[in-house]
Amino acid sequence: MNTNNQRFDESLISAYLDGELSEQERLVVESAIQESPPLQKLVRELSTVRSLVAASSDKSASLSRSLQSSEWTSSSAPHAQLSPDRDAIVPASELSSLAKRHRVTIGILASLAAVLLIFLTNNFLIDKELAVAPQIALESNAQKASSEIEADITSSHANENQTVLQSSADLAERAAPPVASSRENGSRTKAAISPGAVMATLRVPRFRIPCLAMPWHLNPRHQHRAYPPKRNLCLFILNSGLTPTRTDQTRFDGN
Amino acid sequence: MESPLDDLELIELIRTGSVHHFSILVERHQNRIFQFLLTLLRNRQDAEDVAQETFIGAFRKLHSFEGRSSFFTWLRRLAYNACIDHLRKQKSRKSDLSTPDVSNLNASPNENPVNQLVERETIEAVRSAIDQLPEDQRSIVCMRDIEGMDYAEIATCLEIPIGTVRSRLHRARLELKEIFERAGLRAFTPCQEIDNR
Repeated sequence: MNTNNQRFDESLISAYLDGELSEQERLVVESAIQESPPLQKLVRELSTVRSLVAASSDKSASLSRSLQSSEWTSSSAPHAQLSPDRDAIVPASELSSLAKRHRVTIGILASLAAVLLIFLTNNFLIDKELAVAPQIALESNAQKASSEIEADITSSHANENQTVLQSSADLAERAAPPVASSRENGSRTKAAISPGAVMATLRVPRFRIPCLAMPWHLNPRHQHRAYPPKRNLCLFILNSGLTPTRTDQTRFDGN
Repeated sequence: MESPLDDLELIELIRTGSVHHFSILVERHQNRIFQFLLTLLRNRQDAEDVAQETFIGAFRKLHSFEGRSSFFTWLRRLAYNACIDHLRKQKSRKSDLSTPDVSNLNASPNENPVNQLVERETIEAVRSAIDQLPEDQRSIVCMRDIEGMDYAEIATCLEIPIGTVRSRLHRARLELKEIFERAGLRAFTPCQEIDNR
């Protein structure tokens, strides 16, 4: 690094990669980078760091795709004219070559498994009649047990049929009283929920109580990681008696 | 819940007693606040808890909001402070930040499970490296490279000058680079080999 680069503030490199420099600063940085191979190397490395961090987020659909589209491999990147040795740094190619090797291995194993399955099927197949009879018995037992359970549930919760048919909004207020989540013995617990509401919830799958319904992040409707609709939070705040007050400390006052 | 009213109008209504309008503010901002907290905490349950604390705190302190910044900026500062408080409390307990939650990655267009496995391993390595950073650097890296906040927004959120944001972010990236190199992350190893030739 020459004497000019010794005076050069390297923190400008990060700002340069982030597009946070003024036009004048950008020109200074670009000329310094052009003259200095160590700076070029630093730019490449920091750009890779930046891409890796961004790709490590859940927001990124794919690590390799993020890396491939990252600034430093993009022709539109501000430092694209530096012509970095892409094959030397970008891990995406390495990832794909490793994946190809694994893919071949998996393909071979799958073929062997298929051949073995066919062999076993042809030679050791259990007599179908012997196999089907117990299966029918099991199914009939299961149906019987299921109908008994259904009858029990219906009789024990006969008084709550009204609840089942109520709208989800009404259920929200009754079944999910203001929730202040807490942790007891390592598990999350919610405020008490009446058995009738539980049954109602189970029978009305469209209504979602956070602690009972499908985990929100598994729900296809929330595959973009939207925050789960917390009606409970609003109810909690509105029903908790809290009021906006001027007497609170303004530690959080950021304006 | 859509409302034609903007944040300031809603806040005025809430201040005059129409507190149920606060639910509109919650619905409007909860996703971004949750994302922000998830970026910093990397634990969904913690992020949900802190988001809830943030909104409750916002409701209680609404009269201290003077409108000099946007409501979301103010809310994000509340969230950041609540996050720091949460991390301080968590220090006494065993932190689960070292086991980042990668179980809920979005469906990748590359459906090959092997590719996904390799990607997840790399992601875990990167997250582990981020966790090794000091808190002040880690926050800035997350805000910039994951949340996509610009330097001015970060400076506002952390109440530090933009120059400090720039230098702190640069130090953080240099530190990450060294961690990656020490860990032998493949993204950096070939580069060194070439340079040594």
